[in-house]
Amino acid sequence: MRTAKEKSGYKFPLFGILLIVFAVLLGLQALGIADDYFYVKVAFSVLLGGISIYSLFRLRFIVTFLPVVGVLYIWRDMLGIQNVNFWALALPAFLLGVGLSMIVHRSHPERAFVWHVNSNSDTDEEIAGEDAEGVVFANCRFGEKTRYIHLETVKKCVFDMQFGEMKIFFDASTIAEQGMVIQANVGFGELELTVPKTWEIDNHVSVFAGTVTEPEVISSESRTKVRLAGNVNFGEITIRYI
Amino acid sequence: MRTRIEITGENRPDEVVIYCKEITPETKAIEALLNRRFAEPSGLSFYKGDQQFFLSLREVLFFDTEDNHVYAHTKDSSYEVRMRLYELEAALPRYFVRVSRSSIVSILNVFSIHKNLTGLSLLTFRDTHKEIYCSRMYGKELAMKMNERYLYENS
Repeated sequence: MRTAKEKSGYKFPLFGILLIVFAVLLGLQALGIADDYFYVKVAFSVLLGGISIYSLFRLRFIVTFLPVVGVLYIWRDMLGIQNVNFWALALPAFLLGVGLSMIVHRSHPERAFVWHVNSNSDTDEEIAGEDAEGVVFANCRFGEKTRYIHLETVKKCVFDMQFGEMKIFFDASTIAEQGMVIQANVGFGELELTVPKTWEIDNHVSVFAGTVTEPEVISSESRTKVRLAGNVNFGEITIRYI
Repeated sequence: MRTRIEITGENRPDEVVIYCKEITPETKAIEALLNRRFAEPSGLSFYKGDQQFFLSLREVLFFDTEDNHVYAHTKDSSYEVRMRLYELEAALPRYFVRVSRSSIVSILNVFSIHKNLTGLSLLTFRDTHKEIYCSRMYGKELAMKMNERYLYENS
């Protein structure tokens, strides 16, 4: 069995590279080779720019615009906007992000969904032809929520979690004959999945600055595989066995 | 009014008797309070599919709604209740309290309350993995009822 670290699916190399670059620049500055925080500014700008571009491709507009504000603020002297208030910039960026998210995700929910899907996952195609029965949807934005799944046979679950915490309990549900897929999109939050010990979570989640943690289970019983796909950006998915 | 508690044998059921010279509004209020406290709502049945179960309300940790269905959660299972949540709220004894728009909890089974920064509280129950959130709006009432329980159990 893979360890929790292996299961976290930490595959995005850009973030790791940026952290290393950042560490090197900090070291140079500590040694007095760089001055005036120039390298730190560059490193932060690259980091924030990376987050912004990454988020744009996933249609996560809030996380796209806020880093741009950060970059503008870092270089405010060079841009001639020394007296700008960070919060005065952040608020319109946040509202812009919320507004665009509402328009794009409402008018093209299927498009937004596809963008969110893990690149090495084929889960959407597997389920695309299925009817709505056996599919569970749950979303949570800016809040906390518990949800108990009572569906007798579950084929697919779609969880969308932004800025909050959601706890899902599967103790009263069974997996459909053709298997089950959990599609989880988590941004700035925590999703906790409580599943029976007889399930085995097959982790295919794409993680950016987050984790998927799963305790090791020693069980002599045969376990049914459940595919866990989706994205975690600045968040966490925790699996709990009961 | 004087109150007195007598410990009886194990075989005798618990009973509350009010001795009074005459029935006053006060005694009627006490009777009504006790009836509401201990009465099980009539017609409350628990289902799993077509199978009907007969449970004591003391076993129920909380009721919550899911896709227009109301479920009663016990420590290790859950059952559908074919009533609306507001109907349940009116019919349930006083040890059940509304904790959010979609759930009613039994304060007798609450084990811990974990408050977070946003004002919500996570309720846990003894010997089970089940948890439920109490929203800000209902937090005060829950705290009051929990305090009542504490005073009752420790007096």
